[in-house]
Amino acid sequence: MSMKNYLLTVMQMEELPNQHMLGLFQELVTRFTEVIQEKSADEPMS
Amino acid sequence: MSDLWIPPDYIRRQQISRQIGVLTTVTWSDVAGSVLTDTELQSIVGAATAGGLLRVISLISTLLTNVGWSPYAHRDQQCAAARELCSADVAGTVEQLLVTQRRDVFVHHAQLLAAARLAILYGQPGSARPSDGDVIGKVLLAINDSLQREELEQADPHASAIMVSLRGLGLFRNEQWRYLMPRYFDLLVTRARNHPIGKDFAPAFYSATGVEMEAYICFALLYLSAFQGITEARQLESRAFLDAIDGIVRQVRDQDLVRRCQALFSDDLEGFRNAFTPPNASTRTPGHHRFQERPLVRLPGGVTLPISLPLLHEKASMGAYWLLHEHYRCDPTKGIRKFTSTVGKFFQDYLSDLLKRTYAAGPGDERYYDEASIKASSHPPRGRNEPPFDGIILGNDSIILIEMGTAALTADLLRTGDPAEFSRQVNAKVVKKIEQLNKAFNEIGQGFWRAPGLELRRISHIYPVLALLHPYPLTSATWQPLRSAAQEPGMYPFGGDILSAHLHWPQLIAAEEWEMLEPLVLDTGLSLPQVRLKRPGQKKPS
Repeated sequence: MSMKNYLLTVMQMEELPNQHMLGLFQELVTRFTEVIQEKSADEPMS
Repeated sequence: MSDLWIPPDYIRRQQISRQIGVLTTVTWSDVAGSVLTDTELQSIVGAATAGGLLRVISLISTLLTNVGWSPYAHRDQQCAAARELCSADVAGTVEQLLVTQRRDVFVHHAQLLAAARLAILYGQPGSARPSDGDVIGKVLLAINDSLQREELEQADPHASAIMVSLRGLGLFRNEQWRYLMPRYFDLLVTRARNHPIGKDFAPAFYSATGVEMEAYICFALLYLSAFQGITEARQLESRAFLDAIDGIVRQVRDQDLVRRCQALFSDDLEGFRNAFTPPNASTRTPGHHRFQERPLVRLPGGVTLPISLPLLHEKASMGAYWLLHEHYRCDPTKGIRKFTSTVGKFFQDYLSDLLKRTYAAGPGDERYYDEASIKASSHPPRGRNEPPFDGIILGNDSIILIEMGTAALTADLLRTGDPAEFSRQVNAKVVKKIEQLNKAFNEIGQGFWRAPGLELRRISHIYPVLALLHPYPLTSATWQPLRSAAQEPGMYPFGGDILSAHLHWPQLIAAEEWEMLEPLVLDTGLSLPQVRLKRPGQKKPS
């Protein structure tokens, strides 16, 4: 599971998740994927 | 009857604990019949390495946080911890005390923080050794002795209850991070973006930290993801656990950003030791504040671990708020007042939006009206432009009067738990909100304030509610000043001369509770008074 999907799963743990909070969390996770740019496979790990 | 000799003052302390509703902990004196001195405890800790002890502490904290709490699973979990962390004979006694319900808890988060501080101050340097785990059980039991002694040093159970509840709230906010994080993202980022004062939050944060606020929150998510969902010790004992954070951050392209964020969340052993040693350490606090500021520890060998997973949750969710708070507090132009009043305005908008969503399209009969709707419907006396409340939920025969607030008890008070200072702060910050609700009840009854469709003669129940952004410690002792300020519940005339409506005690509802209620009300049409009346201790009105 990708980190993005994993984080969204965490947010929906309840039977009745708050859709507005989930929307905010999705926006945050979108920013997450923009801010945390992962190295490509050919870049060396530090 | 215990077959151990227990000092009479200890038994008295346990009785007070039970009276004020605090869970009692298993202590070294329960097991051995005597208390370890501070010197003995330091000497035991000094036989192990700091790194080894902190690995075990991090492991226990992660398991305690991730395993869901239930009375039955909790006791099993505590017994399993005793078997894992104590010698066989000690574990047997601890289990017996837990299973027979003479004690409630062996390991808990406040104790783990105290153990982490001892490990940093007195543990040996160098790499972790397999024997490090041998001392942890005894250390944790001995810390329970000293924590109980501190908590119950007040002879007066009322003062004890205030101190224990304040200190508990000061250590752990006890809110779910998956609600905290989006709430503060909304208040500090999305709602602030286009506001004349709020738009300064982002540059202020960068100037204080050298990191963009969104990058800070995103790195917090990154750190959290490494430990979320781990519920079994075997998952934590592997090398993957020790390498969890460093393994993830090595994959990030911008390593300079990694280093800047790491500095905001973590410290090494020397850094913590300096913070705990006078003159840096405050004499009033045991140093847990430093763990709240830096919940991650960097150990020798490139291992980074959470000292406390709940503190990492809170730092991730609310860290940006407290960094901004500190930035504006140091602003000589009274920036803190501007910051808190802006967050207060955002919170009122945030909660009003939530209540509008909840009651606009739900299947129930209740409707919400915000302050603007109330003003538009009302004809108050000249000079009275502002209603003394922020919103109203109108039902068939009931109204819920809502006053919203961002009042927070200071961090110093939550560390010391001083009952006199508590009384001063509550009177200055919270009691006035209860008095506003009294005023709201009386002025609506007199017809000063109205809402669309409100007919006073149809109203049989009035529920005043204080909606709070920051949690308030809820025990009978901390509730007492609010209860004293509240208008006496009972039957009152409301829109006429006869005693027609029942005024109820005010209640506090935290932001998280409103957030959890939203889907429930939308999905089921559940009425809020029904939920509130089901709370423990609430009697159904006649």
